[in-house]
Amino acid sequence: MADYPSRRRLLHRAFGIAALTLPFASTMALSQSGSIDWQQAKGTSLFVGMNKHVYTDTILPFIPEFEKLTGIKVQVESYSQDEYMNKRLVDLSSGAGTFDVVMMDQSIVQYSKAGWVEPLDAYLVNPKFVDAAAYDVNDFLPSLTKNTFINDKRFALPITGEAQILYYRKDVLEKAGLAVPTTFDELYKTAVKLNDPGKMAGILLRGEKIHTAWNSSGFVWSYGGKIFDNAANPTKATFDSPEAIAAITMYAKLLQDAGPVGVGNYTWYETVSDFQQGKAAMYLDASVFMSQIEDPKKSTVSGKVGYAGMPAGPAGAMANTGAWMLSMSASSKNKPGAALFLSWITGKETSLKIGEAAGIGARKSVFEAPSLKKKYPAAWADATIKSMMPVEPTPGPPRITAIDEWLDIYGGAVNATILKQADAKTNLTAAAERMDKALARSK
Amino acid sequence: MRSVASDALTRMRTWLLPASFLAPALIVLIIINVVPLFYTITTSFQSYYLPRSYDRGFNGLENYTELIFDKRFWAALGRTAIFVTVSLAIEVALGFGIALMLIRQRWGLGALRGLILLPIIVTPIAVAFVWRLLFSPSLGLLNYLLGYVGLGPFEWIYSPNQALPALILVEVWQHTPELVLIIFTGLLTLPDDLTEAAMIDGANPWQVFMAIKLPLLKPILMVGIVFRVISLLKTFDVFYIVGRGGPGTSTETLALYVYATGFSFLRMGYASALAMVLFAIVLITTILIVRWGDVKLG
Repeated sequence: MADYPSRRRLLHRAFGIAALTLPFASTMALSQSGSIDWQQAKGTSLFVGMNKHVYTDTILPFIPEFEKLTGIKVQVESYSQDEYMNKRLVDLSSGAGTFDVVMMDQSIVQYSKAGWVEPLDAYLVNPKFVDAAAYDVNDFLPSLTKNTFINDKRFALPITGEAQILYYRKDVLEKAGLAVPTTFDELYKTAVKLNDPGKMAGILLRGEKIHTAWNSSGFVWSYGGKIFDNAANPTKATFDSPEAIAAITMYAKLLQDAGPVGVGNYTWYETVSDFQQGKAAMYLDASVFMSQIEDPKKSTVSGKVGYAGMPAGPAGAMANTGAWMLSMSASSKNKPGAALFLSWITGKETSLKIGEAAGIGARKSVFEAPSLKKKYPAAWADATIKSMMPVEPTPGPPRITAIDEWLDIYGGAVNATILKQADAKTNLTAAAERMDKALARSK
Repeated sequence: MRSVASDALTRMRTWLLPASFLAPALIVLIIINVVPLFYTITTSFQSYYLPRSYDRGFNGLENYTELIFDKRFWAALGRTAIFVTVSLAIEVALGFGIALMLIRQRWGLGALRGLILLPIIVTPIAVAFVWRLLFSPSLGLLNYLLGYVGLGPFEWIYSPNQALPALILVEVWQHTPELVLIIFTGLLTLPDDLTEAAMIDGANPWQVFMAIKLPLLKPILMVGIVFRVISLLKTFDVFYIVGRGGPGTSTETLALYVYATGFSFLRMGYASALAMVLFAIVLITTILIVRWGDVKLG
């Protein structure tokens, strides 16, 4: 738990940085170009490796602005996910230095420990590259920021993320005279009341083995449990604790008593299409599905959907999140150029432009911007911010090598509970035992 | 002396010429079939976890001992046996039924045959995706249609009890045509005189079928069965797309378990041991069917 800075320490650090650069900020305009000599790497070129993603498509039209500002030639290469992961692995692990900047995901654990990506802390406090006051590193949503830290060092900057939020049918809840649930107990009661078997399910959650893992982790944390003893360096499975058992019991009960028929094999594909077709009253899942649910061409419920943050358990509302980030390759031959690029593209100004264009972002200021709330449902933006605020315990999938075995073993236990093949306690206890073996084997 | 030498030379020539023609095919066959087989056999006696491949080493029979106590393996094996037996029985019965009806068909035979063969020529992956849509309990066509006659809603692949039967349905739908084709062709080659003679002697159609047609068809039918059994034992694509062995592990066959162990859990050693068991089962079953069924291969 001590391997990454607490929010308070982050805050202190950010204040320190802000204080240091205050003189600069006060003498120069508070724009992105403040203290930085944007032309310092003029004439160089930069190679950016990206995964095919909404973010990638969205930044392309803005790249010429950066090229004009800096005189650096930028080449963005995007590949489909599997191909990208392979290319990134080969380039960074061999030290070939083809990519200067790469799009990063959970592999950040492996990449930072292997020394393939550059720590960014020094760049963030260097006024040559970052105008700290204008950049406002503290504006990044805490839950996403946490993904960028490995052993107290920052190896990436978040660019976009998703968090668990509650989608609900405004019209259905209104007609039934029910309030939007804010706790899991309220969620259960509301879901059971709204459940109309065969016509409309009370609630949708993913039920398929592997797919339950990410979603149910948020439940476990909200009930005060943990998935592993030490989130940053797991040694023992703790998803068989009484708190975790209570959480998974709730997850299963929601689906058994108010879920759709056959939910045991529901991936996000089934949940999203059911909700689009008006087959459910509520849906708890990743915030990223908003655009599909609000798309009038695919969805019969667009405009009828309300958004709320993750419901609270006994330990609060701890939504799970997933983050996409940008990292600098440790073998980049143009680190100053890469630093300028990161500073520019993750800065407040550019982030807002990207947010306005596609409704994605990693900064609080982006989701709070009036221009964004005008274009996308304001309640969705608020719910997303709310769900991305908590940082405890470490969000995202566990930081272990045997990640697929975890998905199978832990996800399998949640799935078996939903399918009433024994209760949560029996399933989770047996699963934790198997997980410990897998952990020991993969150490 | 000279004549012996030239004899040897001629013999070598007669051996070399065919060998050089066969060589390219043999080399390719060895590279893509024999080498991986021996590599897998070797790996199956090793402790080999992919992320820690530097720790790879022989561990004797450890993988095979683990396998004996692995409940998930035995469950997968049992499931595979059920899937193969039930699918095969239905496919053979339907294959005969449809072929016997086709042989009497007097009009539109070409078009009918084409229609019946359609499922075979569709890519299995596409088949799996379409069936997944059909099976959806809330939005699927099957429940929608069955609802009209007051049946359902069924959970299909979304319930641990119905998932395997649902997959058998897909399998039967896609592969029965293969047997129809084989049996139909077999029926065409049957001499009419035997059947006619039996009819004149007063045999009914069932007796004619059991005593004459079936025995005559046996060799060709057995070839069809051998191919079906091999392919059924190894079925992977449809299972993987439709439910990845789920819900839970209710449709996890041996082939899927091998895949998960190797390519998800990255336990190459143990996965190789599992793969060897699957290989042995396919081999033994094939040999038994060939023996019992009097199949003349080649």
